[in-house]
Amino acid sequence: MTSRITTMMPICHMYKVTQILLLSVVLALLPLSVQAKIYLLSVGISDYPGTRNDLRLPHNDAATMQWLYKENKQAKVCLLMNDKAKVATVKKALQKMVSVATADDIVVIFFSGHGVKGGFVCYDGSLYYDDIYTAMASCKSKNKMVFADACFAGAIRQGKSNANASSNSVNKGNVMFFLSSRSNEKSIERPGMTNGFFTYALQHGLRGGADKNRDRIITAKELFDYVSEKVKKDSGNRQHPVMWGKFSDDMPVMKW
Amino acid sequence: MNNEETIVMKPQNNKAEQTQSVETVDKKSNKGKKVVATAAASIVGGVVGGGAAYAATEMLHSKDEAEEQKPEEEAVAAEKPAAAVVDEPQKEQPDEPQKEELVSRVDDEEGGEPDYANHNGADPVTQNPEVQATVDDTNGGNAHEVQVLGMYEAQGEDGQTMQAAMLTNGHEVAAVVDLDGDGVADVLAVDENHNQQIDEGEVYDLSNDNVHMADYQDLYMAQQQQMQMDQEQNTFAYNASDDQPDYNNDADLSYV
Repeated sequence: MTSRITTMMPICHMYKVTQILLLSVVLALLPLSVQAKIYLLSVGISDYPGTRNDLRLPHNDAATMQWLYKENKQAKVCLLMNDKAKVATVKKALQKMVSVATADDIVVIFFSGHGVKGGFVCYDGSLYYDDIYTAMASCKSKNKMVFADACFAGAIRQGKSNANASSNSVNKGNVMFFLSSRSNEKSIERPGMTNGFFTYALQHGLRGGADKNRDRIITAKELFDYVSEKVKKDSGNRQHPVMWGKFSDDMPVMKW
Repeated sequence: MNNEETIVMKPQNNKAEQTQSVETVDKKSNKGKKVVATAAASIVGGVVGGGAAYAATEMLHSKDEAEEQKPEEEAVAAEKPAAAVVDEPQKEQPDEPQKEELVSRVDDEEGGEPDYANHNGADPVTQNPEVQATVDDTNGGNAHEVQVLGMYEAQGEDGQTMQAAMLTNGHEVAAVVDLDGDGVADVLAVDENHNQQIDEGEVYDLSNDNVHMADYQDLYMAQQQQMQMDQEQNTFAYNASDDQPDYNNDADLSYV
């Protein structure tokens, strides 16, 4: 009996070692397979039809955000600028993004351009807040962020009426809107700058400027404090960024 | 986003092209090249709605002024191509935020114009009686602009879709018509003798001038957007109060 056990020992031992090795491999691979992806839809329109409504920097704002997220976060980015940013195209890209994002993924929408009551002005018409609400509501992601550098962007806080967007996304996790100005304010760009006031401060903040405690994680509150202060200062207190939604103060917005 | 201090910005490529195209209309019309096109005249009369086309005589004969106002350099004044713009942030972004740089850019205060200085809810039909032979507004004003009142489509007897652009200088109306649906204007109709109808000698051939109807479509779209934005600005934005806090991370998102 004893000799039998003795002879089996190496076999059992080998079997266990193999199990442990396999387990290690699986555990090592697991984080890769479930690692959160970041999806960014970045829209910027400087060149509207005709010349009267043109701006200078929104397309650059969108490109900046694209670069930032690609560089820092290896995000999957859809960049739509100027005449590529027609309403139908933006809606389609938005819909595609929210449909592929899983609960663990992070969804980011960035818009820069003109704003009107109830929406953002794409190349050929308005992307209404309802469209964004609807997309958000259908998105499984538990981390959704909307950055908007547009006049009256803060009006997105004033509710909507579209019954199609009535699902309760509060239960789906963080939803953060970071908007360039209050609902009764315009968002400003100025010659000589590479981005509008808001986007300029935003990208600086996300690249580390807002990391007050230097832990290399930009939280929502850190970002708001940084950007708000900068934009108010730069605009002579005419523009006040707004951060609004359902999220914790220390929700990570960017690890840099 | 507000186009504050950017109203006088340089036109982009497509805008220059657009202006050139519209100028072409005037060049051609200035040639006085007439065609006897009674059929076309009747089509125009129908398309523009009950003979609403009035004379735009000056529009047809003032190209020289327009050409002087639009030096060729402007037509080639181009911003960077999109690809270059996309790359631009990469070149400019330092690894660390540069606060000093930010401040210096902020200090770049240039003599800004009042916001939407030229767009204060103006009537779509300008009140200036002087006719301008171009839609160029890159000189910073729109007092002399030709406006596109509308774009119309109609079916010809052979089933061909015709498109017409109604133009006005504020007190007179003309129509540019694409008779064969190829996107290129074929005739310009004006009621030169002010008899409320298009007569035989009041239709001008544009078929060799490569005037694109899309340019008028773009201009029309731009004007519509501008009107919407002006209206929003006047009726909503500046009169609205926004007493919500700038930072709210516990918002009611039940409708999102």
